[in-house]
Amino acid sequence: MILAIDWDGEIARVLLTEMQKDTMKVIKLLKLSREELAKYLSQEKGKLDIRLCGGFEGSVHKTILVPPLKDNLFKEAIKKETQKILEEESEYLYDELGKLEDATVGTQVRVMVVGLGRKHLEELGSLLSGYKPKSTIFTTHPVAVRTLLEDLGELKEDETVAFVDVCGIRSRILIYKGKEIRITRALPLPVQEDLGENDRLIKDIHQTILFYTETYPQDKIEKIVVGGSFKPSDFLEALKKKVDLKIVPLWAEEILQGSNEELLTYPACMGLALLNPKKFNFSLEPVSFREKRKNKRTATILGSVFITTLLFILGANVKYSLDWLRLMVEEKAAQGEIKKRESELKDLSTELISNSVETQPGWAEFLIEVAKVVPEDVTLSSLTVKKTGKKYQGEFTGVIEGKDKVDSFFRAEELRSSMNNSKLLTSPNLERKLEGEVLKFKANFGLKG
Amino acid sequence: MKKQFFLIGVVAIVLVLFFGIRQIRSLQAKISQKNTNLAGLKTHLGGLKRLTESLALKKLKGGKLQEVPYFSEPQVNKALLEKFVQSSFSQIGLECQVKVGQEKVSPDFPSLVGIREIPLEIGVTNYSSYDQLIILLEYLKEYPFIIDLFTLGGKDVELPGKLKLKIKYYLPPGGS
Repeated sequence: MILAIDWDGEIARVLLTEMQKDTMKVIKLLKLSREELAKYLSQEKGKLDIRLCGGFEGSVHKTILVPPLKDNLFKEAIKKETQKILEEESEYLYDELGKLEDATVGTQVRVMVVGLGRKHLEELGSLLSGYKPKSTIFTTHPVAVRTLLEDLGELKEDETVAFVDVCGIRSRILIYKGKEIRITRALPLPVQEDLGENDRLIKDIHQTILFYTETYPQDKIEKIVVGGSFKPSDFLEALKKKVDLKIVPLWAEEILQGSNEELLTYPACMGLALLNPKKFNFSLEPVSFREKRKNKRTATILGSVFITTLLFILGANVKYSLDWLRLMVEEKAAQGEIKKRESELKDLSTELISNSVETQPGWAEFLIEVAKVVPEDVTLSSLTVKKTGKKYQGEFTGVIEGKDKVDSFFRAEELRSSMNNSKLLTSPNLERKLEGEVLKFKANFGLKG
Repeated sequence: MKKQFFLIGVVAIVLVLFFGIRQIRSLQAKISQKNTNLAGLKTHLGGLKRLTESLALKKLKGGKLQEVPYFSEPQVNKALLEKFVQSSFSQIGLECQVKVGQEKVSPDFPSLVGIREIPLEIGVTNYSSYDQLIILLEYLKEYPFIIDLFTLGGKDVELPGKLKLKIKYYLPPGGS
């Protein structure tokens, strides 16, 4: 369901519609004050697509010419031009209307800028305070009416059309050149009872037409489309006589079967209801809404990152905890198995001792090997074999008395060499010290196997 | 407000990451330690399996070591073991002094098995030949003796003599 709201600063014209197979079905037509609108929205249970447009105040519709530049430069140029035409801090959007060939300046791009003062946009946004709509579109009144005229087929490309909305003290005149909004003017004069060519409202409309013709002398207004619920035939005739243009009155029954003329006092609401959000270029947004959206997005991103991080940490913790538990179980199982095996050893204790005794080095072989590796002219002072941990380490000390110093060194090298070649002894760490002609030595070695 | 909210969010994420990663690292370190322990246990278990299997086979084959008579009175046992060593050495022609230590549970075997050991220090006063030493060492292997040290001319044992030994006598659980 679409709730279209046209806010003129005091009264909100509210149109609740539903689109059924591309046909608009009017559900409610309301004129509400700010408080009444807030109350109405607070009672609304379902989420609505809300589209709002504001009055003329603070809105700017202007067509500017910009040279065809690359994207960023083009945007920058539009920004600069727009700043010149906007009188107050505004939100603005633009749409390219086409290219214009100029003999002196060259090709120019026609861009229509639609802007709305920030405070007016905020005022529009404040109408929804406390209500969370499904979606929102904010735009200006002339843009909304343009959509209606396009939908009715009354506004064609390059055709200049004036739209007069006569409805009591809030009458307006809008002049469009195709998609371009050229004149937007409020007609503050009330409709007179005695209508005629000299009626002040008709005069006012005529003056606006004249002003347009002076401003755009090469352009001609094709017709005046008359909306609103006030369309007595004498008014239409008097208007036609005064402005000398084709007058096209809109009739509610022709627009929507079964509807009454009151519907025509909601032209902007109808335009809002009919617009296609996907193709709509002038959806402005209050800064507070944008900030709220940004905050929401930031919160969503932060929340997602937080949850992802938390899940990652939790996942990793669970994985490692399970690994830890598995290892605990495996460790317990291994310890149990070891205990079982050790208790089995109780029955085999005699064999265990026997095994320990048997796995000692073959002492006889070892002593014979020592006798072999020590040359005859080497005198051993001591021989010690000691159990260190599970291995046996040995040490010789002795003296070598060669024919001379050199011979003593040769003998020591012979000892090292024969120990290196031994099948039972590991390579020795040989320390030598010459005292006179005598070479004292110490050899540390291990037992193989 | 937005900045505060953003900061709180970022701080929360950083805290979760910090503590989470710390917890993960601690678990990884524990797992690594546990893996090392487990590998050690598995190696030990493998060795035990092979040992029990080979001992069971040995049991089937028979052939026990000779034993020194053993009684429940430790002082008597000490004297008996001293006497046994001296008489055994004298059979080989060696005179010796024996110092018998206190009986205790042997650290060379799993404590669950309950094998005990009696340490002995021996100093041979009349050692004369290498052959005697060979015969002696081979003789000791017929009994549940294990040699921790032997030395010719070394000073590791404070007893008189050139040939000195540190040996252990193993006792199976419940006495021999």
